[in-house]
Amino acid sequence: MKIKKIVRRNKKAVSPMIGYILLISAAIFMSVIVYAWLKTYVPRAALECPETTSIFIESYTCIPNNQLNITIRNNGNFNVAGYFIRLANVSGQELATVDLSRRLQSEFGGINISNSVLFSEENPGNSFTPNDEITNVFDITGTGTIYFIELTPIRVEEIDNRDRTASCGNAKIKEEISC
Amino acid sequence: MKKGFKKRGISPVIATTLLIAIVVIIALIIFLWFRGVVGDYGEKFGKNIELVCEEVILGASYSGGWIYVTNDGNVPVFKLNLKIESSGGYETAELNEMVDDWPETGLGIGGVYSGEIDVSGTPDEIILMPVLMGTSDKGGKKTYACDEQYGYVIV
Repeated sequence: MKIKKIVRRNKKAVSPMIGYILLISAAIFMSVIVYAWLKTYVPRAALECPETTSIFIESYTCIPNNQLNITIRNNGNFNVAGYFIRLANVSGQELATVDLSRRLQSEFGGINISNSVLFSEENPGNSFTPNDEITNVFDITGTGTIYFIELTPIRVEEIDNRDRTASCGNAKIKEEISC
Repeated sequence: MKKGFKKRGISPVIATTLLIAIVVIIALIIFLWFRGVVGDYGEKFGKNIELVCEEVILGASYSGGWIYVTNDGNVPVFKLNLKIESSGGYETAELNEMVDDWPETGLGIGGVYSGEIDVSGTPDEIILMPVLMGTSDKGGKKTYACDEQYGYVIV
């Protein structure tokens, strides 16, 4: 009878412990799942340019169906890495959708990377400082009449310790030209 | 007495094993049900793809049967859905199926597209809605069509 009592005590001591362990592990397991799911809903900083990033076309010269020289100035407060450049060659067109970056004549300055023009080949970062001025030359053979061009500055922004190219859509400019 | 004592000694082990097995099975069932309820949420840039829809910035216009689109933001757009409303109701279509030259990888950052679309009748309204490419929670690729609230009215 004495042995029986000891055994019963042992039995009762084990089961609540297992119960707790199971409960805690189930709670941890479920909270990990919920946390992983909810984490994706937490807003994180979006990739964007500072508000006062700005460039403008100071002047241009055009030889129809041959060459377009554009002088760009940084009139903003932040360095810029490059720009997207497009032209509109259809009358009444509201948006410029002909990419001009691939027609850059890089021997006169600038470099074409993908669908953009970067100011410096040596320094692909934000090398174009405020008040800097640069003239880029484009071959416009076969583009037809150019009604306007649009320029969108590009900056290199650091997000999660990685350099990423940011399009400054809020600083996009439209310049009507006759060419 | 001895036999009975031995039997009683084994039962806690079996009970514990059974308990653990039952808990694991129940947890698995709850987990699978939970995933079914929540759905396979996609991610882009480390956040829920629904939130990324807010960051899409497009320039879009339509004139003379031609559609012009520029991606002015920092979110690549994989496809575009169109909602064409006319007096008889509305129809939805995928732009990449209406044209032949939609870029295979979509409109990257700074990307542009112009193409002619065939819209029957005179539409009262055309809304362009971005479709994004993200990663599913299983690790594969997953497309997500942004809601109409993130659409661009071009007509």
